Amino acid sequence: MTQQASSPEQKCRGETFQPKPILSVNDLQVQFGSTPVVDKVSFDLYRSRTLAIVGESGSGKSISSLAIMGLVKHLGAKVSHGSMQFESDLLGSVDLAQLPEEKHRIIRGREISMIFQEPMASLNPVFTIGDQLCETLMIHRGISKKQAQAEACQLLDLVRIPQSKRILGYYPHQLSGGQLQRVMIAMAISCKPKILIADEPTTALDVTIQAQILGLISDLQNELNSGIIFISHNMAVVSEVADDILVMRNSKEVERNSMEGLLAEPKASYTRNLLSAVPELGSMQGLEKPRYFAQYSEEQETLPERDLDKQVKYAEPLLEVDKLSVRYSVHDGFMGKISHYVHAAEQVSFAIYPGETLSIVGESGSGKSTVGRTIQQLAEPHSGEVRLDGENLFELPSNRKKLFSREIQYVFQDPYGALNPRKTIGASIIEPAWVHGLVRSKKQADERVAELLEMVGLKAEHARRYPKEFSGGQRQRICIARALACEPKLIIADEAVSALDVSVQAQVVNLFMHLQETQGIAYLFISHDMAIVERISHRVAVMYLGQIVEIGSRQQIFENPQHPYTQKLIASVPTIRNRKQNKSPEMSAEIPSVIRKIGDEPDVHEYVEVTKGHLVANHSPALTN
Amino acid sequence: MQQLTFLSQRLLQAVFVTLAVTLFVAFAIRFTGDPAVMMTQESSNVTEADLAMIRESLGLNAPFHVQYLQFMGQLLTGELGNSFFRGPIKELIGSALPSTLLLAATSMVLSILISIPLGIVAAVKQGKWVDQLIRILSLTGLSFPNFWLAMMLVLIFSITFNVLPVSGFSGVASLVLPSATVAIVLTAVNVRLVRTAMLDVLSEQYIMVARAKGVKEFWVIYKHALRNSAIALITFFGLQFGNLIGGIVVVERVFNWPGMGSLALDAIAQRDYPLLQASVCILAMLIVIVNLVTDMAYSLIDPRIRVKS
Amino acid sequence: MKLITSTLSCSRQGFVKTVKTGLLATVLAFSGVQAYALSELNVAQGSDPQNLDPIDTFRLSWGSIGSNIFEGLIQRGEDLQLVPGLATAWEFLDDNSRIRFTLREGVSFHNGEPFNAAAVKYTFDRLLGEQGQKGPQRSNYTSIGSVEVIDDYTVEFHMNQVDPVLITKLAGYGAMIVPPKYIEEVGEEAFDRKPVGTGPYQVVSYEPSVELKLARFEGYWNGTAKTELVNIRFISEPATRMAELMSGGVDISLNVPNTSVETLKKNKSVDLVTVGGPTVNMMRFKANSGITADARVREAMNIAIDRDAILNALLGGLGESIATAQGELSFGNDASIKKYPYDPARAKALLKEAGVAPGTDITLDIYNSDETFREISQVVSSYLGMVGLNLKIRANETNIMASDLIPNGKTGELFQFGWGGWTFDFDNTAYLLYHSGERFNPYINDAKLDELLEQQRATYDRDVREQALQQVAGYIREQSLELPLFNLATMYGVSKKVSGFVPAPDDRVRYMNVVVAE
Repeated sequence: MTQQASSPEQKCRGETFQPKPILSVNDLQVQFGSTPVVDKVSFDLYRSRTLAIVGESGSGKSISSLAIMGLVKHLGAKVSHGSMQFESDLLGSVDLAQLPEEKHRIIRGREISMIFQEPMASLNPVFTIGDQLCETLMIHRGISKKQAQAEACQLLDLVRIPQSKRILGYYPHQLSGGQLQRVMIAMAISCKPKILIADEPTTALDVTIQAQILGLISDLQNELNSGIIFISHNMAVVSEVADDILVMRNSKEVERNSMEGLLAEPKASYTRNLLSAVPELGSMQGLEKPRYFAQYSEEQETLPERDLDKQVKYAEPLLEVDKLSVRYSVHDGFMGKISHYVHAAEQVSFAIYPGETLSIVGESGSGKSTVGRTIQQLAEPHSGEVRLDGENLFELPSNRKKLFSREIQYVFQDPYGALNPRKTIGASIIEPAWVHGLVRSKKQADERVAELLEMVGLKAEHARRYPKEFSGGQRQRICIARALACEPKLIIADEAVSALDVSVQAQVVNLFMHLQETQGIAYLFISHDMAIVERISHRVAVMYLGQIVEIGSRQQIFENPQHPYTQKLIASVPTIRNRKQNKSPEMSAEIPSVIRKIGDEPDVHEYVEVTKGHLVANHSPALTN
Repeated sequence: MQQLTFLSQRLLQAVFVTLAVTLFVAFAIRFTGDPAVMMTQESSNVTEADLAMIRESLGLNAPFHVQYLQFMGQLLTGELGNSFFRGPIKELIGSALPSTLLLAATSMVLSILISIPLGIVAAVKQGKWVDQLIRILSLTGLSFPNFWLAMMLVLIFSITFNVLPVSGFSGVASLVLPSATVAIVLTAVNVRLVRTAMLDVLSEQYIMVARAKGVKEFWVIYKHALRNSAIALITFFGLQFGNLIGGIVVVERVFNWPGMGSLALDAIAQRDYPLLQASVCILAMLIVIVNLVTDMAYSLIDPRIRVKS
Repeated sequence: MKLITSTLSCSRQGFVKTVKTGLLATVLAFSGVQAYALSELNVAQGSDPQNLDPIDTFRLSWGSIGSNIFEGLIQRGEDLQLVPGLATAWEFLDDNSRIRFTLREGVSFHNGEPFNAAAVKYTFDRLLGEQGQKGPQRSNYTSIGSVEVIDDYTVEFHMNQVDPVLITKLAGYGAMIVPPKYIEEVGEEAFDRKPVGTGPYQVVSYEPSVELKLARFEGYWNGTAKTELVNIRFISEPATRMAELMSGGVDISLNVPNTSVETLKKNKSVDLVTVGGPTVNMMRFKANSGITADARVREAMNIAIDRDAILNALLGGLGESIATAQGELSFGNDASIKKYPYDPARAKALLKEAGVAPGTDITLDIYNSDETFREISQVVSSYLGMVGLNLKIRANETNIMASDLIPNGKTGELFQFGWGGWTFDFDNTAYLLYHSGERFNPYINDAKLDELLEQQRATYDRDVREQALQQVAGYIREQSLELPLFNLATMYGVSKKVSGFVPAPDDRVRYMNVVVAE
């Protein structure tokens, strides 16, 4: 602990002395049984500064934070070595590694508090927001329930939740993810902690909400002068918030530096790989075609960035979606009469050409997944047509429909749930091909499986293994192989890379592009991640509240966004390049509801062609504010 | 309002289930024996003509659907009709049903009172010796046939120590052994359910959040975790009611408990069609109602169902 | 006081008016204001007749209850002797076509209603009329044409046909004298649950399948019962019954299972009391087809089995092996008929002679509810195995066996038959088992047997009858038409505190003289 990662001086303006760290972690080791999950990690945290711990899943970054909280024993792990010296106001200078549970509990939630990744899972579903906020206040401050409630109200105001009094009586399921994360933050800061640990606080949130939450955390830090440990896998997010950074991999420290220092000169190849794998919005400026990610192994670049080498012919469309509307009915009343509709998709029209990637972007509730599900015939349309090679999908006899379900395949977000754990992956991959009669013998099937596995970058001998033996990225490859087994013309990839680590994400995106290059497959790529979309797409459609607000080529959308929503979406994406320049947008914006009373039809957008192929919805002034 | 829709659907379902059960029972019992023969089993000199006369007086010569419709008609008016041998069914059930309910409720409460703390301890000390011990005990409990268990309890508490009555229904003392028998077997299952439900909840993030807030572990478990696992447990316990009734039928016989199980078994032995139909029908309704109540209770505890968002 | 009201509410007003002091005392005792503890006897029996009306049942379980409540014109004691009951004398008139009964005077029913000729006429009119048709008893009494009241204490039975067993039957269930006024007042259904008779005990309360409470009838004509209250509990599970007996929960248990014999013998507080019973256990042959149509085969099977060995090993020696389908007490038993010897060598020879190949499969149908018989069957199976017959045992539901397999002749080569000839008159068994066309006789159709059986039914002459019945028994033995096994003892488990208990061979236990020491 001699090496000081960075000088904290510039933040503590007006302070002349060298400040002492409020938390000094030295040689920390945490073990599950005899396996170390955090191995010899050291770092310092100062007041008013933010330390980012960055790493992919399994790197030990979350365990480190739980070790500080004194909670690793509940995971069955223990701190086996090292110290965590904390300057407590209540207990004086203590080593958290040695602190007995009763004393640790005094600090926990009061001097050191924590925000978790999934706001939806962080609040107890059977207690009201008020109960849960008051609990912390009552434990640590010994105040009455009534006082606590008044204070909870103020806290909700502080995190900018409107109608705070009413919200106190709500249950978690009645709030949106963004609101819940605000509640979590309110809870975490309720005792004005010296240290705030934020474990992936925005990963589960939509991009515009993410921007708001990041802004909120930073504002609160200015008020409370807390030291923040910000745990994330996302370099772009981290680059926006952190002063110092610790990169972890496989439970070990890879690199420790100031944020500027690291960005300017990444020392470890892993760090460089991590940085290059981060899809940077705007990095494609001026480029026409989709582009592969660069890839590094250990020391040198193995695959350079390059353009996708295939030209799309915009002649006959492969798939046409024409004025597609999907509505779900909401039943109410004693007789279960339909009273409302969820207007999940409204008059959606677009076309996909052979060998092309069309992306649909939008936030949760925008209807982007509904469109995908309807094309896959998993949802019933309310009106409109979907035509494949000129034939309407919804008016076909069932034998023809089967052929359609062969030509359009699907890759889902969750590679864990998509594979039957009791089947070998070979059996899973070839199953749809058997169904569609594409293989007729065991031998043929085995050969095809081997071919498919190699196509997605796995080995033929993997066929006899079970899903549990594969990592998330490998499983997604298996799912892609299964989709390929039917020789589809179109693959619908619904958030297909969202659950993957950044470096793995880059590899899978590369695989998608490679398959397009070699097999000529078209993709409908559904995603909330603007940066990935920028990489992979030929054309992009932006959806908002069930309707397309803007559609055009990638360059048209990203370099000349017309619709205010598109602009806001792009502005919300954190980027390394523009670090600390991104201004968080207004705080209140929650996406309006798409549930409407019967007869209350939404206004259908009319489109204006800005340039050739670039359509923008006529936007109401309400949206621009 | 959605709850009302739900309720009416479930009621409809209940009616259907009850109908199906009675129809099956009415059909099956007629297929397997003749009450006239059972009546005269210990008699000599019985001729076919005598049997025919008895059948006629019992109304057994009518076609099946006529007999069944007549039974259903009586059921709808709540009259339930008469047993072949034992007078008005309404009175028989009126005296048997409360006994069965008393036994069921006592056993269930007893079992829940034991299994919740044990299940929680097992879950919290997962993998430790306490957990292993509780799991072994539960497995042992599961492998007892309840008939055997009942006789063992009688042997120990009634014959050897002579502290509890062997059988019958005469005060609180006579409730001890039957409800203990049912409860032991039930607890063996329940402990596992509680353990699993608690383990599920304890691995949830909000539990870790509660700890991170500085909540004492005791309250983390008994406030944050238990309230959540209660949602699952209520469903489990409700679904178990069917099994419980099944077990009670056997236990009632061993302890000569004057309940619905004894009533139904007697009715089977004597091929007392109307009595069997009625008692099975009541038991089926009971199970359906308990499941319905479970669903309602579930929605009361779980705000995600209770409060419409 | 709650109990008083509930007791009163189930009785009718007319009944209440005539309540005797005895009942009042009982009622008071139940209400908790008793001045002294009433003497009490607790009894367990395996099943509940479910209906206490004597003409609605044929169950042995009724016998142990009804015999304490009701009386007939004739009574049969524990020694099976027929003695005057409610009739003091009877004579056969007009070539046996009329029987005149002189009735006992000064007898009253529990409700105070007097016993007289009208009650007798009402009893038999009811039995032979519409009400009797609903129950199983009527068929036993169809030889009676009508009953005529001569005066208050004299009646005459006009007979349709000769019925040699009639006097015995008049001690039977169906002939129990019932009170006309009471039945008319309360109705048939109420009578089923709370009957009234002339016997030493009266019904206090009856909870079907649970318990029947009896109280001493203070106005009984033939002395006074020694114990004031008798509680009869119905406990269907044999093990529970035995547990109650051993724990002192009951003083007397009927229906002792064979499996408990050893336990009871060893128990220090309980006696096992036995008496030769009417029940015979046997197997019958499918005598008209298959290998069992051959008398040699039937004889071979009979002598392949060592009955006494089975009796001692499985039944604790509590019974007698038998040569025909009756016990020693039965009228018509011929002591000179030899029991089957155990001679496996000869059995093999007979089978060989009949051309039965070793290893031939045969089937035995048994009742699945009878554990003891299942064990017996397994031993029989191994005995038959030793002479080269491969016996398969098929256990059937009671009802299926009694209402389908036997009446319709669908049994295997052998089938179980157990019979409680309650009259202790071989006619009762033999006619049913051997006369052609009878329900329980699907296989035997023999003119000689028919003739003999009909002959003995046509006369009251005991000698003629006995001879005919003995001939029937001899013929069956000669032809080996069945495989008789044992005459089982009737067993009672009795606490050592009990005195004055006399075991009844026919399950018609009387508790009048029983005393329980404190």
